[in-house]
Amino acid sequence: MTKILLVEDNEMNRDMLSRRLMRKGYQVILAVDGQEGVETAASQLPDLVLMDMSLPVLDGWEATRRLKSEPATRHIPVIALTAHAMSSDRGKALEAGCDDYDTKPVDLPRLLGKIEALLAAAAAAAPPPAEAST
Amino acid sequence: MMNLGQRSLMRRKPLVEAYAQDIVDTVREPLLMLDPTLRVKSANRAFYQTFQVTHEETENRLIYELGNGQWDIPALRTLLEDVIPTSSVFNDFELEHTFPTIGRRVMLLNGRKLRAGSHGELLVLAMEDVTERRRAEAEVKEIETYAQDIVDTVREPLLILDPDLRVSSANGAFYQTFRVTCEETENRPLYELGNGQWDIPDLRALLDEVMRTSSVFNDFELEHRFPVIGRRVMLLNARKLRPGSHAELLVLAMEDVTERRLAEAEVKAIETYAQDIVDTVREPLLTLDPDLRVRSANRAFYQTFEVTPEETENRLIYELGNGQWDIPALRTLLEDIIPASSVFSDFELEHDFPGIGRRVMLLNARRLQAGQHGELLVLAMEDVTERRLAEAEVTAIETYAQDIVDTVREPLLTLDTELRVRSANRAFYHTFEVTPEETENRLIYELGNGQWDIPALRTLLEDIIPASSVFSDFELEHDFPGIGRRTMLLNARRLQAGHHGELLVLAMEDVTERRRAEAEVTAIETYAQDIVDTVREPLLILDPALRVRSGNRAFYETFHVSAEETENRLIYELGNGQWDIPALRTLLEDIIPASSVFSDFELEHAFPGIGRRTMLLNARRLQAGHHGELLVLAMEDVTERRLAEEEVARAREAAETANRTKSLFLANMSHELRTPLNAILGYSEMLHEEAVERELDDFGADLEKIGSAGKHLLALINDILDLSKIEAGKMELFLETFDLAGMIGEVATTIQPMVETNANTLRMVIAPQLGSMHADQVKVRQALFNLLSNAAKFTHEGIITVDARREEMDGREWIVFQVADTGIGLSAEQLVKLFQDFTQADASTTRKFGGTGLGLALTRRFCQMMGGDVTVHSDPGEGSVFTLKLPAEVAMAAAYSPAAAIEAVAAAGGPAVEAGEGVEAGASCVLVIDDDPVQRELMQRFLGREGYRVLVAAGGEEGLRLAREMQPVAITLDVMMPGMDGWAVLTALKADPTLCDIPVVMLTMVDDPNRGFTLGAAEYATKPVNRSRLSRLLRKYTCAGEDCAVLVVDNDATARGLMRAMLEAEGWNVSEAANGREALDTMALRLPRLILLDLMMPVMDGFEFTERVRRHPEWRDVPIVVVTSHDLSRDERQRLNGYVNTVVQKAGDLPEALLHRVRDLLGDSGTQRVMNMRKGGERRAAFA
Repeated sequence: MTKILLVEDNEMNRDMLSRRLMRKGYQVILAVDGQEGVETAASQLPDLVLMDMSLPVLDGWEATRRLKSEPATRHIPVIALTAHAMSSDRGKALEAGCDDYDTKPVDLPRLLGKIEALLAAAAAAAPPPAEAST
Repeated sequence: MMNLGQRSLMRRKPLVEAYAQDIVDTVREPLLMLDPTLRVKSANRAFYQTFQVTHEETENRLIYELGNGQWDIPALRTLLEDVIPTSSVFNDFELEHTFPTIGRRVMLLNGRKLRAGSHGELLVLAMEDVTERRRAEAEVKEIETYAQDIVDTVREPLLILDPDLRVSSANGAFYQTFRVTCEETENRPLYELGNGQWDIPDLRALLDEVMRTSSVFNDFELEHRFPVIGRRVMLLNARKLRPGSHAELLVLAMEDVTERRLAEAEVKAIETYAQDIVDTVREPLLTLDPDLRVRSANRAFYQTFEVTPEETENRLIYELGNGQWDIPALRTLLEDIIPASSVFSDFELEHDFPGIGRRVMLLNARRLQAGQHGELLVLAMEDVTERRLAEAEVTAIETYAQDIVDTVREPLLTLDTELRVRSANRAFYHTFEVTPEETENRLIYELGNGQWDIPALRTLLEDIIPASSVFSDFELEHDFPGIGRRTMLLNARRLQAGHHGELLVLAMEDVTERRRAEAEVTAIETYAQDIVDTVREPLLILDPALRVRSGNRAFYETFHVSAEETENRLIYELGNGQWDIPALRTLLEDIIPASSVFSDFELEHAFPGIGRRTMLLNARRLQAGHHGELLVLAMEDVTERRLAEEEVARAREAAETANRTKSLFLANMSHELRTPLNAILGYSEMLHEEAVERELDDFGADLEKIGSAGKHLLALINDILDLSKIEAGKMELFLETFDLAGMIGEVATTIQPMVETNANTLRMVIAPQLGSMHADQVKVRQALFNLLSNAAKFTHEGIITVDARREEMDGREWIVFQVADTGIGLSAEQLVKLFQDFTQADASTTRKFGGTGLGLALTRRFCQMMGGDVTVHSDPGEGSVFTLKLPAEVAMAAAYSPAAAIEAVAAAGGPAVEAGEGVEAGASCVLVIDDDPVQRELMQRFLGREGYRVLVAAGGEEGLRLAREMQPVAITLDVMMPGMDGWAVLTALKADPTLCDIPVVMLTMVDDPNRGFTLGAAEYATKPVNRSRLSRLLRKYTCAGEDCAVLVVDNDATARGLMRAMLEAEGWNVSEAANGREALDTMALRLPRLILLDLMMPVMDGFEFTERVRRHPEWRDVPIVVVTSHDLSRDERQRLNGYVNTVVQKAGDLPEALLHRVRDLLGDSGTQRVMNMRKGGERRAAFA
């Protein structure tokens, strides 16, 4: 089962999204702040990370950057979840290393589409983590 | 008596007769032998010779008949007849008779009767013609008499001594001179005379020795102290003589030469004296005899003309020294002038003397009788060469002096001792309009019609000057006839003008104008002083040494000091050093010397007497004429004004706060409303999905209703919030470039269900190459959506057309969207109300058609914000056409984005400023520590515009390094940074003694939403706070005198206690609170001047508390010093960041507001004052 790490500090959002994702057949692991998100990603190596951008301790961008700089987690696709729809936010997210981004409130079908796209891409690209070095 | 010889003769008669006869014949005496009848018996040859008679005539003749009776002489008869008969002998019978032949004769007869033997008695008459003898005797007698007469007449004492040196006689002069009598003298031995006064050894020597050998001794000089007459010098002539029948005598003639000797001595002395003079005299002297031969010359002559006596004496003057004296002028003097006049003085002779060069000699020549030296010519010479030169120089100097006197512009008068004008200079004549004729030799008081007859002048000339010789600056005011009323300053000086004698010089200076000017200056000074005293502002006038020259009344009143306490005191010493203010020192000692004027120097100080005051100082360095350079300090007490300004600022701030409150409210509301609504929507959607999955259609339908209601609510909320935001002026534009066709397509897709709901058809007319626009996409979309949704709602089975094209107008490109429908259309009244809030055409329409009624209002606002507009064209029942027209490039001025914010901020005032560039040198520098380059740049530009020089660091380490190096006045610190996060940086800063005093403003900016937040503290400190750090900190917040209240907020009672102790020691009044809530309560009761706040507290943490305080208009200005732990654990940091995050989300500022907040916080931390000063300077262009 595909493991998705959801990093979201808002409890209700976390609840809603994780349950919806689970019902869609994903395994969802949770982190409540950026720091935890990075650590969990490193330890659990999910297949995809949904990263809320506004997080305590470590914000989403920094967390994403860290994930993307660590060889162990670099390959994991990250979708940024932001409340803004501006392209600059998109740009910023991408700059941080996010593979995609989506806006809140979540449009589940849209989000699912992006998740699936990234997972497929990742699977296609898929070298084993050990080989991912630059 | 008979001669023996004759007796014997008689005895020897024969012989004797012969013998007798022989004798008779030999005897040279005439003899007559008479018989008794007196007949001549015989006569001798001598008789016959003597009487020149013959023998015959004589013998036997009667005697009386002889020679014609020549012997008939009565006396003879007497003798012959009377005497002889009786006496037989008679000798020496003198007979004088004029004998006829021989003349008168004196005969001495000896008659003797004798017995001539046989002859009988005879009478022999022997005659001696003693005529000569008698004559001689008479002559002798005469001469004796004469001599005696002479002797007696002679004034000289004469002593005649016999050979035994007895005084034979002395003359009257002797008796008189030696005051002796004849009796005392005659016959006395010389040496016994007058008590042995003549017993003089020298005299003895003369008389005994000298006279023994010589008969004459003349000029025997004898000096002796005679008893009676004193010391006398006698010149003796001694002569041995035989005065006829007298024995040898010694005549001593004495001449008292005492006086003569004295005189001679004196003459000698004088001669010597004269000679000495002659020799001492420095002048060359020549003495010439009448032949102009040099008799003598003095040493001076020999020295001067470098000649020797040998070359000179006895030489003709003209021959001296190679004819150097052969001078025509001298010849004239000696040969022409002197013979005529005996004396000639000051004969001036200029001659080139061989030895000594050209000399001017002044000669005095005098012909004189030099006693025994005969007539002499004395030539005295004076070498006046130098004198002539000196005189020439004197003349030159006199001329010079006179020239000066004439050139001097001041009138000068020279008076003699009687105050008559000796001379005046041209300036005098000119000034007083008088002539020399009117002036010279006139008594000063008589000049010019008595115009100088001034009592004060009299006093000067007659009283003051005689006493003191000099008097300067004698002031005299007088109405002069010619020139009017004048004030003169006189200098008077008594002086010796060489041969001109004593003079009084009067120099005058007309100081009338000067006095007038001085009076005017005094008047102006008084005027200025009056102004100074009238002015209400305190004024201090300082001398260059910063001592108070004077203060005005306002100063004394304002500062409650007296003139005595103030004048002459150093400004810093006034009133117990209340003016010893560093800023004032800077002004007086650094600024004013450089720039002379400084206006609006703001000084805030706690003055002991009057409390904390803000003074605006104008300082000006000025030249106060003879007072020298002064510094004027004018002070304006602007305390109230500043307070008022602060009130205004506070009011403004309150308004802004209200505004911000509104924004916060909006943000909060937005957030607060959306959060549950999101949950509702989210869960209902989720449940709906599950229901669908589980095919629970009832649930599904109900859940749909929930969802739909929720969405509606969300839409409402969004619209309300948007509108409120717009009204609050808080709506922002987020510009981006987007593809138009794509956006329209998305909107169309979204609206499709709504379109289909009313069985409408959507048509798209999109211009080809529509391209993209740069605008707020969200808003454009929303606007378009709004129009379409309206069209869909109000149209049934109609056609909705979306038209999009690009147009050009006024040189700009526009995008025009048109939404046309075939719906119900709008009436004119409806059109009017259309764009107003909360109206849909009318209330019923709302209920019928749904919607919020806000859409069009929003749409219009959005369009206007972007620089465009929306218009409508409609007729009832005919449908409507809404036209959206927007600039293809929405203008920046209206836009907000981080980049735009920078531009906006930069454009809002002043030139865009790069860090370190274009900011005034000496500007304070602020260090910005922020990892986000965009934020850094934003801060840079903003703070640069505020006048700071901005340093940037991208992280904590760099920040600390820069801080140490550059010592900024403040640091802004981003909380949320990777690596060394803000808290770590903060604690590092506060732990470093070189950095801990630098105020830190902590902030954070987040993009989502675009918010920034400053954590509301003016300063941070880390626990434990050390005493000196606290002191320094507190100094910034000093309050004057009364009531320095501080609130200590900390949950740790021990920590609170420690702080209290330290604060009370600093003179603060301490209140405590254990958490934020308690703190707020306490503040409500009594407003502290300062809050010391621990961040980590339960119930209400520090940030929240801070935020609450910020929101409160009255509390907003209380500075908060946040105290954090020295070591923050990770948990604690996380907690802090969490607080930060929360607070940001809840209450974040828009960037501009954030920046202002930063500035304010920087100001709170003490950097503001510098800025104010400098800004003040710029605004008023005070630098002169």
